[in-house]
Amino acid sequence: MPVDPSENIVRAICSDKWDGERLSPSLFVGERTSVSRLALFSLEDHWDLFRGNVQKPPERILEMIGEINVGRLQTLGQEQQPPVTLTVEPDPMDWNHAHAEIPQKITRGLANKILPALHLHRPHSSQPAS
Amino acid sequence: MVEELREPMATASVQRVSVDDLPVEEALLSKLGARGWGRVHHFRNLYNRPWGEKGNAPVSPRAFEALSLFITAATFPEKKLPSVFLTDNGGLELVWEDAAGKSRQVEFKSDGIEYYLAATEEEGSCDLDGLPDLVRKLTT
Repeated sequence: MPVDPSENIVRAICSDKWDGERLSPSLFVGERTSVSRLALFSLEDHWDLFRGNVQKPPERILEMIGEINVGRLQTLGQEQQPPVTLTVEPDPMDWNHAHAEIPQKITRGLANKILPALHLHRPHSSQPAS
Repeated sequence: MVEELREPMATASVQRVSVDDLPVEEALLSKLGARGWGRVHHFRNLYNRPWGEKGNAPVSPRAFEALSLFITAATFPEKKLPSVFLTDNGGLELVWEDAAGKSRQVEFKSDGIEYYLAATEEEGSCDLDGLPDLVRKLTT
């Protein structure tokens, strides 16, 4: 069953997708985009999960966590021309039971609409950075 | 012993710059700045095997070659240097803003090039042979 639109999801943002000034649109371009559900694990738990399983120092550093509401994501998809029906499907993994996927193909144009809608969390802060 | 010190195993896989590459290196450094130039080489040297939780593709040599050709030929607005990112399929992505502040993006992949102009929301692709036309389209 797809994740409810009322839920918020997060995506790890590592140094390959953030250079200190700009965020890479490829963070959301393509199919089967990995996300994680805040309804199951808190933001603080996600920092620990991503630090332990996603970042691989020295080459790949976890820089931020991007958060978006599922309903907001779906609205952005519907506003795109042509409209895209986006869903978030639970996909629990051994290292993260809150793991989920956006299975649909996200175009670069749509990814450029999603990025500004993200709330960016930086390390040691549970408050959105933007 | 001396030979071993010259070629330590830990650095044996690091890409070295040959004399032939110097014009490209100069173009990367002058047009991307130290940060962008460093990121390109960081990706080439440290992402040369599957990476990430999904085993993403290593940096594509063809993508690097296309990026180098594009940057050598391109002229960017002086206001802010372009950013370089690594995509999950081993491509290299270049992002900058036009004179009006609208984003322009190119992803160099092993099998072609994708581009995006935010001003017109134009999204397209071409093969590597189309690179000269793409330079004219995106950087003038």
